Amino acid sequence: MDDRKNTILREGQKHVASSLTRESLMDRDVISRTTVPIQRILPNLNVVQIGGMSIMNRGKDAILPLIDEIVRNQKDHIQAVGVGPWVRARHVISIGFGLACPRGRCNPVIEIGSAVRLYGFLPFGEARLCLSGGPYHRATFTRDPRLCP
Amino acid sequence: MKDEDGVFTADPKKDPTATLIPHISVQELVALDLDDLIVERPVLDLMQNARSVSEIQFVNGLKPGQLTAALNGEPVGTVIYNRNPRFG
Repeated sequence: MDDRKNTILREGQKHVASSLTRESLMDRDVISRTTVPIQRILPNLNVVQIGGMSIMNRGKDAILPLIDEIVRNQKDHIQAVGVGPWVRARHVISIGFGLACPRGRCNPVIEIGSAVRLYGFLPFGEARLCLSGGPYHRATFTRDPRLCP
Repeated sequence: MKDEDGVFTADPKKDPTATLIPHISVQELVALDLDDLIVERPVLDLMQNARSVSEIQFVNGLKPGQLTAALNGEPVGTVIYNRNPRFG
């Protein structure tokens, strides 16, 4: 246990007293001192997940009434509305096609979409290439084993 | 939000004898080992280890009012709950 108080050691340097000083993180007693009860920061949050094949694929006939209902509930309920990875991937793919990214085998747009589906995020470098202007050369992507295995 | 009323004993699109399960623990649902499920199976594993989320509810997004009912805490659709939540 570090019994020193927070002190200024010298100009620009401050010693911060810590219960972890000279302790092992393998020590259960030490670790137990670092845990606190879990606090739910948004206990009233409702996560509303909209199905992809079941709802989104049905188009506006299914989606618009649902959106109306979500909006009507806004005054009484906190809602975080989301869709699954397939829908997010398809959204990215549609943006790529809208930007005239090339199609075909080893299609980077499809691969980016797959990455979103698999990993839940858009690889920044690939997105930047896609968005930076015009179709890029396929060879750029065939070098990347992740994109063209 | 799905296009069925909740969790059924089989896929209601394929099996007309499928019946709705309105309330079931995630442990029971795993033990049933149904051939078809409304939710990806890893979600059931995640639920059993989740710290904050102790239940999920499936309602029919094609039926007006189902979402509102669920938000108001009404037992519409199917509620899958964790019988042994790690945290209250």
